[in-house]
Amino acid sequence: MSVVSPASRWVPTVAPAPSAPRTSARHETKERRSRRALAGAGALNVAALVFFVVTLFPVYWMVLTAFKPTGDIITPTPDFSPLHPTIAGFVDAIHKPFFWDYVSNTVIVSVATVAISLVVGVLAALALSRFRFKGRKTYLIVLLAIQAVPQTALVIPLFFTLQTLHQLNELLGLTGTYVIFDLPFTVWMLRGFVQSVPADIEDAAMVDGCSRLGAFRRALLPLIAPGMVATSIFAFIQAWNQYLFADVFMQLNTRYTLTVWLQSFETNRGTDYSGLMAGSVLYTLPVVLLFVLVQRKVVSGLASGAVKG
Amino acid sequence: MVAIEPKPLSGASVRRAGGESGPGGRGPVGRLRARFDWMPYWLLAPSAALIVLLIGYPIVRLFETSFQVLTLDQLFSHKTIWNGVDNYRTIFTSTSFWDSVLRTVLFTGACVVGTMVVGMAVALALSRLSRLVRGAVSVAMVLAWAMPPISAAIVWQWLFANQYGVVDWVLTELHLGTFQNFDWTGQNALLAFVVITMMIVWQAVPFVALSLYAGITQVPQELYEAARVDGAGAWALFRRVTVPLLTPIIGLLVILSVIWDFNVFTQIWVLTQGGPNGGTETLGVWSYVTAFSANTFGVGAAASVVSMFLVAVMSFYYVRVLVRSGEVR
Repeated sequence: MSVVSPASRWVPTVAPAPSAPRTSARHETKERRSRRALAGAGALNVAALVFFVVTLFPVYWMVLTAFKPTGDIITPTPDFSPLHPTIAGFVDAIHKPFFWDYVSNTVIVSVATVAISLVVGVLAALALSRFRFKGRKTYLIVLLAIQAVPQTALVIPLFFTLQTLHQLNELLGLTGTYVIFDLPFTVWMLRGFVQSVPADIEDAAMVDGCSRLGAFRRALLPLIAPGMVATSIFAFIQAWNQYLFADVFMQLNTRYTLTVWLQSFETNRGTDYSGLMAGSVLYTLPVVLLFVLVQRKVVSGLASGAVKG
Repeated sequence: MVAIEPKPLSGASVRRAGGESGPGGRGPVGRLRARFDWMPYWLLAPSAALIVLLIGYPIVRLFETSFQVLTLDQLFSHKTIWNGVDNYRTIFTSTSFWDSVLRTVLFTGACVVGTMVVGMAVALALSRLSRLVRGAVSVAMVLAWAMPPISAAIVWQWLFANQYGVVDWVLTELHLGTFQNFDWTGQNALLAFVVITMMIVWQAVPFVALSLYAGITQVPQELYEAARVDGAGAWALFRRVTVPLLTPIIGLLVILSVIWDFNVFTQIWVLTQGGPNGGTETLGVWSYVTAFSANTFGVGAAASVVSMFLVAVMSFYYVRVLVRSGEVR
C-alpha cells in the first residue's frame, strides 16, 4: 500500500496580505507562538501517555492476573503491582484435562494449513506475477473477494460438507476450512515478494541452461525465501487465531483447539480467572513473539535480498 | 483478514511490463512464449482446485440450503425438502432479522468512525512526538494489535466483569458514580455495544494509525512549508494538505475496516453471545444462532446469503479502489 500523491491536487490558498505593523508585533507573536507550542507539546505528551496506558493496560492486566495468586485476583480493591508473582495459574492451566492435546491439535492444524497454503501459494504467486495470461486479473479479484467472505456465512455449508465427508472432529477437515482464508492471503503476499525480484534473474539462469521451472527453483526461490518465512508466520498466526470453525466443527472434547479450550473456563461456580488468564498468556505468547519477529524479518529479509540481488 | 502487501524493494526494478522491455524484447522467457503458454494455468491449477473445492462448493451448498427446510429432523432422516423462497420470506418478515441488520449497520459505522478518527489523531500525534514517546506508543500498539481476538475478548470480559472488574473500580474511584457490581454486558444492549465497540476500536487503531503515519511521513515537507507561507493554520494544513494526499490510503482503510467490522463475530460471541435478549445480535450472530442454536439451518443459510450479498457489494468497492490505485496489476 502506498500513498499515491498527485501534487497537483493541492491548491495553495491565497495568502492574506499582512496588514499589521511589522516591527514589534512580529516579535511578540513569535514569543506567544512558541509559548503556545510548548503548552501544545505538553498536552500532546499527556494525551500520548493516556493513550499509551489505555492501549497497553488490557495486555498488562492479562499478564498480571496470570501471575497473581488466586486470593489476590478477586479483591474489592484491585492490586496493580506484580508484587507476589506465582506460576500457580500456569501450573493449573497446564494440568487441565487434555491441555497437551489442545496444544498439539492447534499446532498440527496451524502448521498443516501453512504448509498447504505455502506450497500451493508459491505456484499461484509465480503464475500471477511472472506471466500475463487470460483470466489473471479475474483470479486476483477472486482472491481479494474470498478474504471478505464472512465466516459466519460459510460455517453452515461447511458443517454439512464436513459431515458428508465424515470430517467433523477431524484435524484434516478443520485444516481444509482454515486453508480457505490462509491460501488467498498467502498467494497475495507471496505475489508481492516475487514481484520485488527482477525477472532478469530467471532469464539469466535460463541463458545458463536452466529450464523454466529450474530457473524458478534455483534463481528465484532463494531470493524470496525470507518473504516465504514472513508469509508463513502471518499465515500461522491467522490459523492459530481461528475460533468459529474450530468451535463448531470440533465438538469432541479431545479435539478442541486452544481457542475453544479458552472458552471452557467458565464453570457454574464462576470464572477461574487465574487459570483463564494464565491459559490466555500461554496461548497469546507465541503469536505475539512471532508477530514481533515477522516485522523484523520482513525488513531484514528484504534488505538482505536487495544486497544479494 | 486481508493481506498487507509487502513493499517492493525499489519501484523501478519491480515491474516487468512497460518501460524499456516492451513485448518484443523480453529476454528468453518472453521469446519462448511464441505458442500458447499453458504454464501459468498449470501453476494455478492446485490453488484453483482448492478454491473450487473449499469455497466454491460450500457457497453453492449454502444457496441450496437456503431453499430447503433443514432442521434436526431432516438432518437425521437425510431427506431433502425444498421450500422455494419460504426461508427468505421468513427472514424478510422477521423483525428480529431487520433489527440485526440495522444493528450491524450502526455497529459497523460506529467501529469504523471510531477507528478512523482515533487512528488519524494518533497518526498525527506520532509525527509530532519525540522518538522515545513515539517508540513507546508504537510498542503498546503492536502488542494490542498482536493479541488474538479471542484473548482480547477474554481480557476485556475480565476488565468489565460485574464482580471485581477493574473498570468498575476505576470509575467508582473517579467518583463518576457507583459502579460496584455494574453489569456492562448483561442488562443493556447499548452498553454492551459500547464495550464491544471500544474493544474493536482498541485493536483496530494500531493498524490504521501506523498505516496513516507511514503515509504522513511520505508527504513532502515543502508542501507544508509552502502552505504555511501562504498563511495556513494547523487545521488548514490538515484539511488541505494531509487529507487530500492521504485520500487513497484513507479510502482503502475505510473499506477494509467496513468489511472487517461487518464480519466481527468472535468478540461479540465471547462477550455477550448476542445477548442481552438478542440485543447485540448482528447479522452474523443472528444467522449463526438461527442455524446452530435454533437448528433452523435453512433460515440461517438464507440470512447468510443476504450477508454474503452485502459483503460482495462492499468488496466490489474494495477491489475497485485497489484496481484504481494499481495494486491489482
